Amino acid sequence: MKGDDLPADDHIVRYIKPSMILEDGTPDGVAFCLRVSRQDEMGLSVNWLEAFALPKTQQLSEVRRLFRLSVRRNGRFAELEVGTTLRTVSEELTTLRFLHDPLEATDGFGADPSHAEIVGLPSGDSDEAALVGDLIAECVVDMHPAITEGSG
Amino acid sequence: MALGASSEAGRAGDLGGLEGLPEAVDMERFGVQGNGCIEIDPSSHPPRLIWMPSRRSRSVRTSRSAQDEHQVSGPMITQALAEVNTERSVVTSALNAYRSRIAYLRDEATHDGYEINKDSEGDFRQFVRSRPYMRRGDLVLTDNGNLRAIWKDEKGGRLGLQFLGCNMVQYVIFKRRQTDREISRVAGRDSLEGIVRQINAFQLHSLLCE
Repeated sequence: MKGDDLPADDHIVRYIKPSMILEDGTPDGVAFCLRVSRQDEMGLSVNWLEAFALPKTQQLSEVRRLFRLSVRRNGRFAELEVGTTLRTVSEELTTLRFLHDPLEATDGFGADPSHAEIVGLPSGDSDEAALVGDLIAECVVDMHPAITEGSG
Repeated sequence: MALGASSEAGRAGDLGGLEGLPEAVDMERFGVQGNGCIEIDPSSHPPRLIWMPSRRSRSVRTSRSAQDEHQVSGPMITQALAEVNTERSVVTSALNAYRSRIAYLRDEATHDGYEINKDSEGDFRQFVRSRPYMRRGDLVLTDNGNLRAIWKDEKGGRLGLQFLGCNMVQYVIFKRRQTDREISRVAGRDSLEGIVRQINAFQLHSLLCE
C-alpha cells in the first residue's frame, strides 16, 4: 500500500545517469543525494523489484517497461537490498526509509506498482548528504543495463 | 616539490602557469639570485624554457664569488630549468590523464541540458597542479555541474572531493582505523589549501599514491 515501508529482505533499483557512474561501473554517492536544483524534492525515486513476480530478469524488464523518465544506453539501474542499506546508513543517519509510492496510470503512462521513494535524506547541498550518499553507494549489490536489446 | 603558482596564474592557461614557476622551483637552491622570469625561447625547436634576468638586477647572480659567477651560473640555470621542464611535464601529464573523462562528462552534461561549472573545473585543475604526483582519481558530475573526484581502495577507504568553486571543496573521507578495524567517516568543507591539511591529518597518502 502507498506509504508502507518496503520489506527489509526486498530489493529496489534506482536509475543512475551516466555522469554519476564511476569508470569501474559503480555509482557515485552523488546519485543518492537529493538534487540541489530541486529544493522541493523530498525523496529519491526508486523501483521495488518484488512488486513483480520472479525471475529477476522479468522484474527488471517490467521496471524498464514502466519507467517514465528517458534513460540512456550507458545509464544503469543500481540495485540495493533494503534492509542492508538501512542498517549500514543507520550508523550515520536514522531517518532513512524506503516507502512504497505506486503511480497511477496517466496520459501515455501505465500504472507503476513498483514505484517507491527513499525518504529521510539530508538536504542535497549538505555535507551530511554527501556522506550518506557515499554510504548508500557502497551498499549497491548490482548494476543492470537501463536499456537491453529489444527494450530500447 | 609542489608548484606554488597562484590560482590566478594557473587559470590564465599555459603561459599564465609559467608566472609562478620561479618561486615554485626555488631558484636560489641553484645559486640563482636576483629578479628574472622564465620565458619560452621562441628560437628553439621544440620550444624550451629559458631564464631571463631582469635588467635592473643586471644579470643572474650566484651565491658564489663574482669571479666564478660566470662559469657556474650557466649549468646551474640549465639544471634549474630542466627541473622546471620536468615539473611542467608532470603537471601536464597529470592534467592530461583527466582530459578524456572531462570531455565525456562535458558531453553528458550537455545532453542533460547543463554545463560543467567552470569555477569547479578551474579549482579541480588547480588541485591537480598542486599534487601532480598523486594517483589518478575518478570523476563524476553533480547535478549542478560541479566536478567530484573520488579515490577508493580495497580496504573501504574513500576520499570524495566536490569542487564547489571559489576555492572551496566539500570532502567525504572514509578511513579504516588500524586499531579496531572500524571505519571513521567525516564530511566537511575546506579551502583548496586546507584540504591538503585534511589529507595529511587523515593520513590518506596511500589512497592517493600509486
